[in-house]
Amino acid sequence: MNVIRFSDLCAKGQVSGKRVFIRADLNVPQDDTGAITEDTRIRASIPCIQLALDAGAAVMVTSHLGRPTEGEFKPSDSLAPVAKRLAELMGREVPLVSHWVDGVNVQPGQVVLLENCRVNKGEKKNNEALAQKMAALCDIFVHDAFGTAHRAEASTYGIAQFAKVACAGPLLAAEMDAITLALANPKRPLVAIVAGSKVSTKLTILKSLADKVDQLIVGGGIANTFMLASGLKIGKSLAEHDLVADAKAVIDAMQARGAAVPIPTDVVTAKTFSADAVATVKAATDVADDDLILDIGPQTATALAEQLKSAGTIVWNGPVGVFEFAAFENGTKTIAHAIAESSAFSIAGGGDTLAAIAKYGIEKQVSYISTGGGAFLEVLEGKTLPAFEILTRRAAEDAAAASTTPDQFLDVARGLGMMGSEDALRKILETVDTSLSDSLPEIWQALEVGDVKTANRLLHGIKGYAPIFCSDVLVDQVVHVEGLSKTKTAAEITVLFSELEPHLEALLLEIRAYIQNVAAT
Amino acid sequence: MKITSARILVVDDDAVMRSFVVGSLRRMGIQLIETCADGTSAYALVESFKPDLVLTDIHMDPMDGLEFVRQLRAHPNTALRKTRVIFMSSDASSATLEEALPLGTFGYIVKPPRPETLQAKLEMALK
Repeated sequence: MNVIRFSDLCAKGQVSGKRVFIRADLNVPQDDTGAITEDTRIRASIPCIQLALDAGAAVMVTSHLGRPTEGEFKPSDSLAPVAKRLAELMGREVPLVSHWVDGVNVQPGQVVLLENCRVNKGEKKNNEALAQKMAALCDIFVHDAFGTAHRAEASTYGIAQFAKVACAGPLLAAEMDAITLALANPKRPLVAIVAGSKVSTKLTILKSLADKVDQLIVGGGIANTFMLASGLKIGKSLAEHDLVADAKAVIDAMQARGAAVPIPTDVVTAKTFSADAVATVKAATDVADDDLILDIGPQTATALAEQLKSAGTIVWNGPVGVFEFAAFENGTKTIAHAIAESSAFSIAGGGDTLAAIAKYGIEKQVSYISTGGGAFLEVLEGKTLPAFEILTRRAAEDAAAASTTPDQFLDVARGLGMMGSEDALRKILETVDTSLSDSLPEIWQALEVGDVKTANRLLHGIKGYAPIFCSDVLVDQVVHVEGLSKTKTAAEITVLFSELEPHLEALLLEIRAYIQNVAAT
Repeated sequence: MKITSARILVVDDDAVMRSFVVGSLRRMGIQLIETCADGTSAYALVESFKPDLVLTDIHMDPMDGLEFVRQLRAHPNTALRKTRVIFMSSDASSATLEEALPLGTFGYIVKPPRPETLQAKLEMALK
């Protein structure tokens, strides 16, 4: 996904002195007294905030908390406990700012937390006036709340439309990268595990994945409906009889592509749904009328585990059995360990899935654990998340604008200020035309033969005069490449120079156009 | 000494920078200006040109600005040893400064100097 990444802006020095608005997800669980019971999301948001501070920005952070009524702030809606925890974790002051939509006083090197954004009227409906006011607060908008990426609200979408720069924070970028690896460019075979109690809640996901995956492993109540569709009896197990035809359509679609939906060959059954129910392993063909299927059987689990171990990519959403009961956890446990042992790129998400990952302690072996429940499910459904859509669009628009903006590298006003007159500027630009036209091929020649020292000398010359008449962007680029050419290899500088050189060529064209214009007048 | 009557030698291996500095000096009303592209040719020129002030770059081939000023400070013509020098460089690292400053200079300018900065430095050096 081609988006502007905040970390790149920081690395290029484009954040220094700028006002940065970070939309984080600080929606943490609290007890009845308002105390935070779990602070993972606050901890996860710190790298982005620290990145902004280290880059010299004036930093504003906001988030939603709970489900407040817009326009009706209650003390229980306040981010005050979050501000306190954030301050403790960062070891610095984090003032909480209320009524911030019309203006925020924050200086470079400072961070403030803006009160619960869902209290603002118009937030959920992505009110344009609200979004424009928020955008006006900042130079750079950073979306770093993947959990809200499937919502188009004023602080997640509208602000990204109107902010001067809209980019992805490190958390959101990591989710985008993982999703791209798993679904857009997956290493095959791609195996998806979709499980849960109901087909109805995941039908769209099943249909979407049926077009993409090589194997679609179904579990839980969903598997029961697929067993019915395959002509097997499931007793009184949870299933949706009205969706059997849909399940059959998914199986047929997979088969038509040469892919498969493995149907369990054995199952673990009980007569009642309880932790102490007697578990019975039996063949899938032997399920009695009064049986409840509560897990896949050991033979099925072993077969699926083998497939997972040889997968290239694994997408996991949902436990395959009632893993909360010890007698019916084996299927989920076997699958979890198989994913952990597999060399495949694995991505997992969804509340129950995260609980299973935690129960079996495989957090470190899963390649990527998605933190956004609803957002993750919508990605699996094949939907383009609003956050991804707007950030991709903004990056494309900015790139198009940059490539069509005239005089983007020649800063005539600066040149006149330094040279004192149009005539003097024209004279020096004529010298630049000759000098730079010679330097560019010489730099290429030097790099081709590995002579990075000569390339550095020539770049050093350009660096010396660039601030006389070049735009900040070009000066920054030249300084960056020249600086690295003191220590990096010719191969590394070749890569950097291949990005810089077209801009210097464009500068030459702008210089020649300027000289012609001045001569004509 | 009035800066308008000063003889100034500009040493820089970059033609654009020479042109820029010469242009700035001319706008200050300075007429007696010579330019060189490296330390060797600058050293060869000082005997005949007898500059009141040298504005020199540091990183140059074959002889860099630091070496040129070292040789100037040991010139057989003792009068030339006291020539005023201002270094110019876009590399304002402390290591370069540490080498440049003991050479008895009148300062150090980060390239490209703003015209008013250059004029202020010249006036101070030529006072």
